[in-house]
Amino acid sequence: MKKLVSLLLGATLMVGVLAACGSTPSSAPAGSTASAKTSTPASGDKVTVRMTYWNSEETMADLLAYLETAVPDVKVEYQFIDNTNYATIVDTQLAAGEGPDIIVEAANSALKHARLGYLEDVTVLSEKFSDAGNAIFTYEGSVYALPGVSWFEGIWYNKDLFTENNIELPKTFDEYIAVCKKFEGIGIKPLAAGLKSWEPMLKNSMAFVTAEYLTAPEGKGFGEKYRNGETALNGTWNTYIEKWSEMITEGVYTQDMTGIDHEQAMEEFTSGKAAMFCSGPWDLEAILAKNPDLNLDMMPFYGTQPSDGWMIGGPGGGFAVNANSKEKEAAMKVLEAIATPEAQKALVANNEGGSSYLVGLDTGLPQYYNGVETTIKAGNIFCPWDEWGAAGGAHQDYGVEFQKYLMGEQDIATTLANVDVVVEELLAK
Amino acid sequence: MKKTRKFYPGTLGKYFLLFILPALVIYLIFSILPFVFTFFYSFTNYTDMNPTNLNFVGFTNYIKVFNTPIMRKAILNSVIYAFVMTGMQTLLGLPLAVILDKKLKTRNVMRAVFFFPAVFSALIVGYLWSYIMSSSDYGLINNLLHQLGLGTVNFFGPKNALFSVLISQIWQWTGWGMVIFLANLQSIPKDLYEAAEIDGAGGLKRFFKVTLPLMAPSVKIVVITGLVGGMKVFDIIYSMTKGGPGDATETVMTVMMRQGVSKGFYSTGAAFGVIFFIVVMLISTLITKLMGKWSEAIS
Amino acid sequence: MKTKTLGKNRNRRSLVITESIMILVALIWFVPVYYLIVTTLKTPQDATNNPLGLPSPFVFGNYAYAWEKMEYPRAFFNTAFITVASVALIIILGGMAGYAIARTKTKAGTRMFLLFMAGLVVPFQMNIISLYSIVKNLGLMNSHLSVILVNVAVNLPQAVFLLKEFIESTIPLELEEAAEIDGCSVPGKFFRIVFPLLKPVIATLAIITTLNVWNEFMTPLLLLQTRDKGVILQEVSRNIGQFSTDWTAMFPMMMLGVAPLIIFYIFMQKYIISGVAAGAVKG
Repeated sequence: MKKLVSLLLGATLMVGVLAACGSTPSSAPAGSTASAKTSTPASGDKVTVRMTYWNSEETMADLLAYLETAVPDVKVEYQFIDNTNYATIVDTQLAAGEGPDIIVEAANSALKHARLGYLEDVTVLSEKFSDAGNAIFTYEGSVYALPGVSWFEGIWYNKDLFTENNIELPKTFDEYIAVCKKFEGIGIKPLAAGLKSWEPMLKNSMAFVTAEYLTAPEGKGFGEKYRNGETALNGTWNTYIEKWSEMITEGVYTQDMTGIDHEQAMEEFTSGKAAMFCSGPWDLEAILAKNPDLNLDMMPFYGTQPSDGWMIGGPGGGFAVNANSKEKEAAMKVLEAIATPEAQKALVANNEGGSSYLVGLDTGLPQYYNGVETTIKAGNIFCPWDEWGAAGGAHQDYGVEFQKYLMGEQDIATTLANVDVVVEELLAK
Repeated sequence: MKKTRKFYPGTLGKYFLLFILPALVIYLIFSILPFVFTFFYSFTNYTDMNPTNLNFVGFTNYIKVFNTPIMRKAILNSVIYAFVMTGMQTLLGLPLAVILDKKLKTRNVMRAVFFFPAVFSALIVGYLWSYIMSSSDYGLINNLLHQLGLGTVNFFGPKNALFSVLISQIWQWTGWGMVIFLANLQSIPKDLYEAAEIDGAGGLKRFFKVTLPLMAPSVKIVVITGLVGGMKVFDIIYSMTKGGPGDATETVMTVMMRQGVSKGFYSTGAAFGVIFFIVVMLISTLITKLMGKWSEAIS
Repeated sequence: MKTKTLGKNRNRRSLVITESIMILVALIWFVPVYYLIVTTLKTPQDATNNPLGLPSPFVFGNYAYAWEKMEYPRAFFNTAFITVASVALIIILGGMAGYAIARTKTKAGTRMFLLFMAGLVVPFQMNIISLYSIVKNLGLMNSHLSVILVNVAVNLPQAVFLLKEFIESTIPLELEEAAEIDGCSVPGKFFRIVFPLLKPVIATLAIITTLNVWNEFMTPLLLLQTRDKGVILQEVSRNIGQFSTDWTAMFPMMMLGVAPLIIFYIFMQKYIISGVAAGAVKG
């Protein structure tokens, strides 16, 4: 026993010594701690700044190329971190006083990091962007990230299947259900959906509630009240979800679909076995690769009343500057360059279908989006959980609870109440 | 074989320390020290919203863990997973090793085939089996069923999703168990077999009387690493079902990673980890004891 | 005499039957891998319309594309360096510790064993936040050394456990005593007598730790931030991205990612089998 104790002591001492070595800055080899932040004077006074994002480098290629010419004295090093690990890794690094110089932020993480003082105030630069883009990155009156190009999810549909079977495009939710019934009647799956994931029902149901309630006068302030803990889903959303649940009772969404992935659902759609598929511009390339001859267009979601339709979406990841960055000036220069029409065009070029929030810049829409042009023109793109502040992450729980509802494990009131519990917990943090 | 095995306590003298120290130092710094921090955090109010002003909050986090609603389901799923996985790995892997230890012409190729799945990361295996078990018409199994005129089977329903994940893992890791068993079989002297053959022991009898007792070390390794690893299962669940549909495949680790890391409740996550550590430690100590008794009994 | 040849014939026949059954099982076992491989050689359309058939036409461009996109040679050398260094350290340090524990039946020995066993139980993912600050304070951020050391720490418990069990149960003490009489020191005994006898186990351990280290994703992702330091799995993840659904582009990257492992296993298999000889000598 004595031996063990002395041994452990010895070992712990060694740990202490080693750790001490590391924390005295002089003993660490210069620059080894600060990953990519060392300026290398040898290669022509270029300063390197690290930028992290959860989208692949291809979606940023043109912007990065543009930055290289627009900000010649700064080298932007792009680091991709996949979506599932992004928040964990960035939070860990920021908490240690390190982290990327330029951070691409989702709405809820931007607010969190702003509150903790990790981010630089970029209000001045943000004035070049519309309020619709800035709103979700605003904390206590200041803007902490420049909005990226927009994302949206609508319903891709196979035009040929509609015309061949003389089926009219729907203009309301009830018409939509009727359309689905017609397809079912002729042996075509109306809507391909990968319900193994929690995402499809989240977006589909929220689009309906957006059209029916959240954008109506009585529901306009819901998001703000919700994040302040003044209201709950259970008790306010029930009637709308009740109506929406026709998607399940009418057999558009089935329990068997929990065995299907997003990818497999897409294959059902591209091969003509299914008439519709809910997704966004990010899947366009993959859809066309699987079937280049597909006659493709997109339609929006509808409420019970005729309208221009609604889509789920909002500003993509916002560009923020790390307040602890050793190259803050260089990072700000890069952000200045991003807030120009040229940079925004470059960004849109790699994200077709998305549009910029820069005031006065209209980049137009490629084909395939004819059916949602009026929707976009009307500004009917909305992401409910972007308004939930610190509880934004609960949107995943919302989707999971809806899976349980689909499988008949609980009723609508329980489903909504369970989400409320998670939101409350997150807000109390 | 009388029990005259002599052990010399501390025969290695100073070399005991010398031999163990390099491993111990690395292990203490990069494995135990982080755990000590975690233990410390589990009594504080550390969250992603509050990373610096830590206060002690006693056992609050531990109480929270027990009040997490899906905890019971997660623990049950982890236990089912660990026991089924370990059982199948042993029950399939051991005979497989014995058969592929025989003088079969194709045994090298077959060993490679059975081991092959183990080289893939959970990401690939998740994709692959999601496709095979998909309830869309393209799902390999359902496609076959449709061609036979049968209805669709949903492998990812609330009742069977966990077992579907298990099937993919049995496919992936049986070969791994086989390799460990093979290493053990290789070290069994062949003359023992010959002696048994002269005694007139047949195949099955020989397996139980001669092979199995000598396989104790490898069985012990496969069972203990299997149970402990099974309790900690995370990667494959993540790539195949993400704990869904609903909460059908939530395990202790998926709940812990989501609550404790993704959602930023770091200190609750830490308490979660400490409890989990104690539970798994207890189970594995118990199993080690049982296994020790078993190998004593058969030798 | 007669009965014996009869027995031999029956033996041979049962071997043939066993072999046929096993080949059938192996074929079924192989279907998923077959699907993975043929998909890598198809066009996206072909893969959707004809998932299990042979590719028509064969497309090798998928691999060329993957090779280039992943910056394969660089990613490969980074991964290989990390893996070789980690596995070598795990085996040597784990072997030494396992031997010391196996041959020290004192309380200190048992306690040390329990300490290592505890590492088997700790879910490593839960400690990443403190691990990050330790690595940062040691000044090892964005270095291969940090990943290697973490890999060693995470895999040591299993190695110690495995080697201790095998040393205890398969290396006779008498052999070591004989060596001691010949004037062998402790390190001499270990490296010259025990280590060579452990060959089949070490080959096995090398295979399983190589798998663990090669397929480890979280540690490099957390600790290696610049692309020139990155490993293969980071490249796979970088190119697949969040929304990718193009399996014909994705699977080749995954195959290139594990191809070295497959070659390594086939190479190592020889050493596991050569253990037969070692075992025979010992008996």
